[in-house]
Amino acid sequence: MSASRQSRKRRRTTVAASAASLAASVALVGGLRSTGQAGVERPDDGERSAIGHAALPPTPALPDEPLSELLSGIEFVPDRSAFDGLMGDEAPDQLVAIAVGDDAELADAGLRIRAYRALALYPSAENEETLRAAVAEHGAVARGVDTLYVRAAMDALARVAPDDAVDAIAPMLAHPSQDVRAGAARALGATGRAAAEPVLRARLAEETVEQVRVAIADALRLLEGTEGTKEEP
Amino acid sequence: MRASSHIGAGGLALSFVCALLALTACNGGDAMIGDACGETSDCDEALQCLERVCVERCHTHVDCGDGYRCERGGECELVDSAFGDVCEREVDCGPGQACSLDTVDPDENGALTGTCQEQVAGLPIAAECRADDECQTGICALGRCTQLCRQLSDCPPAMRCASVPRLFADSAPRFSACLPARGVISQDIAMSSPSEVVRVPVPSSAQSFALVAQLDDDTQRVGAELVVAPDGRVLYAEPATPEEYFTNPIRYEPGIAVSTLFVSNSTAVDVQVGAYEVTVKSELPDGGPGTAVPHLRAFYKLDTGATLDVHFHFLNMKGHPCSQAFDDGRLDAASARDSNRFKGYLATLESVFADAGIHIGDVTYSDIAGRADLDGIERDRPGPLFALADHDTGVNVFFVRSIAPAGVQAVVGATPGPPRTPGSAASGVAVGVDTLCYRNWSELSRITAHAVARQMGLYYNRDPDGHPDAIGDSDDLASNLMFFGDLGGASLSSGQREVLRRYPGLR
Repeated sequence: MSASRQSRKRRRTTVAASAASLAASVALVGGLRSTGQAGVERPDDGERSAIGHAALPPTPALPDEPLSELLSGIEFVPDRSAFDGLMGDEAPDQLVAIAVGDDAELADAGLRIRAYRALALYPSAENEETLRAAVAEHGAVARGVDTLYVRAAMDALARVAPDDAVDAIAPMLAHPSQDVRAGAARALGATGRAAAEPVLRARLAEETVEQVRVAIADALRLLEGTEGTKEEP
Repeated sequence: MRASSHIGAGGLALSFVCALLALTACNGGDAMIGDACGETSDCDEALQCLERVCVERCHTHVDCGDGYRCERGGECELVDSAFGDVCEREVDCGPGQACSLDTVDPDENGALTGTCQEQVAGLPIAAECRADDECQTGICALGRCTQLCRQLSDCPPAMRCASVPRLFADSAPRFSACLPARGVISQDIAMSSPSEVVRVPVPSSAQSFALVAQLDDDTQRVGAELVVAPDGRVLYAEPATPEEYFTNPIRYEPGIAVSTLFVSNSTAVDVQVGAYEVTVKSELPDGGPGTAVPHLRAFYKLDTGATLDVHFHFLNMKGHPCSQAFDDGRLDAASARDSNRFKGYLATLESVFADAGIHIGDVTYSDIAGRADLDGIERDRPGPLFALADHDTGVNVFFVRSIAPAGVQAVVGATPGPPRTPGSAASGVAVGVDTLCYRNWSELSRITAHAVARQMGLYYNRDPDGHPDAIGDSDDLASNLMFFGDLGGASLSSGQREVLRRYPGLR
């Protein structure tokens, strides 16, 4: 067992009491939490339409621990201090493990998306490599949850390695999903690098979906407005 | 039925009842409605003689018309008063007169009465108004024409007698006035500069109130800096530290271009009758004093009505990467109405709010076309989307393709969002349909319920940094609807349910 895993086990012990009472409460309510496994697309089966809490999904199998909470925000996006406070120096490794699906206990798709996103907070060559690989891997899938993984990875990559991100993200401007293409445009804009401009303009010339065209135009405005848009070294 | 035949049929029993009613209710006359009469005894027992015509007996003063009072036994009695006579209620004044509210509180006892004055042409009772001179009675209070009263029976049907503060230059004495018994009333509160102390009069019948501040300039912040209750208690002071934010009795945040102060979003703070003093200001993006003059509107919830209208708006979902989660691969206004999955989603939403005693009322569906720029939104820039909200009541829910950054599943206009204020930058909640790539419709329903409840004024049951809810009996568990994560439950504490039912967006 890795040091980080041991560390998390210790933390889990400290929340054991509350987790027990939580389990009871959730069971009582009927629970609305996920039953899904990692990265598995689980479109609704259409059979949970009865009125009342009895119709709601059963209690999930995910561990109740601070890290899974931190990566579960509906609207809340944690900052670096939140992760550092919880995991200290182990934060980047832990987040990578969750993002790529190596942490079997926290292999929920929602947690993975947010873990990719959180890697933006930890610039390093290792994380850049992880994110590049994620863009390539998940960007090869046209539909489903991979489109969120790749969006999260592109966003993070643009911030972790803005100088080198353009080459990795630019191919996603041709992705079959307009949402990924729009996400790629946003990420390229976020790099703030002049190298992003020609690829965005080229795509704009052939893009027909208005949502993507708007995203590209926004990104170009952002690049133009970036004071002294940085040339790559 | 005529009195004579009634006696024939009822015999002694009716005579006994007549005796009990001291003659007034049992006339024994033959005249029917519309027949001429000299006195009430000329009319059938169920009638009275009013202005020499037999008419039905009265139940309230309103039945009698201007200048008459409904007395015991159901007879209207002409009120004899002169201009300048002291009055406590409208029915103390005779025909052509109105009980006009005093403009001073000479004995400084905090209670205003009136004097009988000439009635003028104007809006009737309960009509919306902005100034006293718009109303027949010369009294516009809380945005409605009103009249003085002493008790419920002094008021027209569907109104009740409530204590209402009257704002004078340096005091806020109260008077008793007829206000709508149900629903939400509102009034504008004028500001003439970017920063000002305003007073918000709150009637005794208010279950809660919300003060919505808006700016024309959508780059500046607006909100309250200080809120003082009528009893002098400071409910909110602009926090200098994050810790102070959590220690204010009322939790509140200014917002960009719009903000809503909700009293009370805590079960530890009751609404008081009287004038609240609120310092309102605008602020430049750099934190400097604002230049925009806020527009204020106060909304008063006058009943315990708990019907929530939900208005669904759909951005363009064509070609969504997770369209397999939609019935027939479509999700728009037309398909949502018939979709079993969407019906299940809505049923779950209804179930969650039913636990709070809130009934889902009108549900509407509409498509938003031609706004490709809003098909996918960014968490920090939802304002243009929410500005498309076009319904007064309830909550507007926007289904968007995606929300950036990835992993954000919903965006809330504000906590609380401005009730009954469509078109503002905080007038709704957005739900990201990309969530259906990894969560199911039931889970999306819980996410939506969480977002809607925040829009209605509930905060997290436990802040991500560990701070507890402002509502004392909220637990801190993930099983609570207000848990900030998507892996949560749907339970609510008694206090949370109570605060939800106070939201002025309900009807």
